[in-house]
Amino acid sequence: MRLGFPILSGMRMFQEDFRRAFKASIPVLLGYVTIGFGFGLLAVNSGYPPWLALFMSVVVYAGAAQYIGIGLFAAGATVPEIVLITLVANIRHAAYGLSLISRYARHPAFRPYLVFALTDETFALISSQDSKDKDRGAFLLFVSAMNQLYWVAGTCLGAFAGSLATERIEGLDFALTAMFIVLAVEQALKLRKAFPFVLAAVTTIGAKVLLGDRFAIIAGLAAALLAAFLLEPLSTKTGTGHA
Amino acid sequence: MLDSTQALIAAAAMAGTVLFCRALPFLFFSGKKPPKALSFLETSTPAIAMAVLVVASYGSLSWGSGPEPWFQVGAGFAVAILHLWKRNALVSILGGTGLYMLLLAFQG
Repeated sequence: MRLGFPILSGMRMFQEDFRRAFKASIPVLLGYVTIGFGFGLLAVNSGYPPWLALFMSVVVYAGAAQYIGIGLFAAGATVPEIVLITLVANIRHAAYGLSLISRYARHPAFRPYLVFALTDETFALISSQDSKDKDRGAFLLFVSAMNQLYWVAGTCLGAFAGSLATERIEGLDFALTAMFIVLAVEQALKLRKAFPFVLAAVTTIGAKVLLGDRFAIIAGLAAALLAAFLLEPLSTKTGTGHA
Repeated sequence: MLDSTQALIAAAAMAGTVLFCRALPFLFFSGKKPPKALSFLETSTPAIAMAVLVVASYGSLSWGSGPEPWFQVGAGFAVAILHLWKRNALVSILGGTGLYMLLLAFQG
């Protein structure tokens, strides 16, 4: 019977993938709609039109980078600065792809979008599924696309809410700093090392004092990365006793 | 502040950069082990980047002209404590931002 109607059975599989993908994505639904809302609100509150917020959520689709981006646009940063900071803030995504290379290679038609849409949450969600779902290309595609849909929907709602507000909401800009602190705390809990934080604080304060606010981020970042790159192999070598 | 057109160009550049980060392993390391330099970038750079951004955010405030920077310091501690306690980004960000907005409102 099933062999007699391959198209019908294919359709059923597709529906089943869709249903399972929706069920799996519900935790991300809640998170993305709210954080996307915050992004839309912040973008409009910072003086940018709703279409720019929507554009970013469609083509950039990276939570932290989009929040940082609005902060940098508002501060009048240059494109090279914005690119460098985006690169540094998102290079972790390269690590996600490493574990998905062979899995995604089995779905070449979906792969470009799957790679584009590989956010922290989507990676976490896909990694935590059992292999029955993880091996289904349609399931992977639906999960990835649903997550982005939630993000875009949240952005639209936030941008709409922001455009209704007649006055600038005082203090909302602190949400950006708060998000940086949250991400720093997450990193501190993961690394359990004070060194990168102390290093970054020293170079950023140094850059601000020497060069001013205009170059504090880029110079502080470059100096900290260079120092960490030079000092890191040294500390790990002596630490493990290979030297 | 960048105008909308400049911001649109910058956003497009951001999109390319994020896509590059996500596509990197698929472009260069299909099947092979990543080099050591990349694993260094993965572990330490996010921490360094976030610390730089936190310090630069506080550094750019107008210190000495009013209580706002100190309100931000208090709200920042609230964010960190909330996050260590609940480990929920939304609670931490909303809690700290709400506290800062309240402090501003009561001051004025």
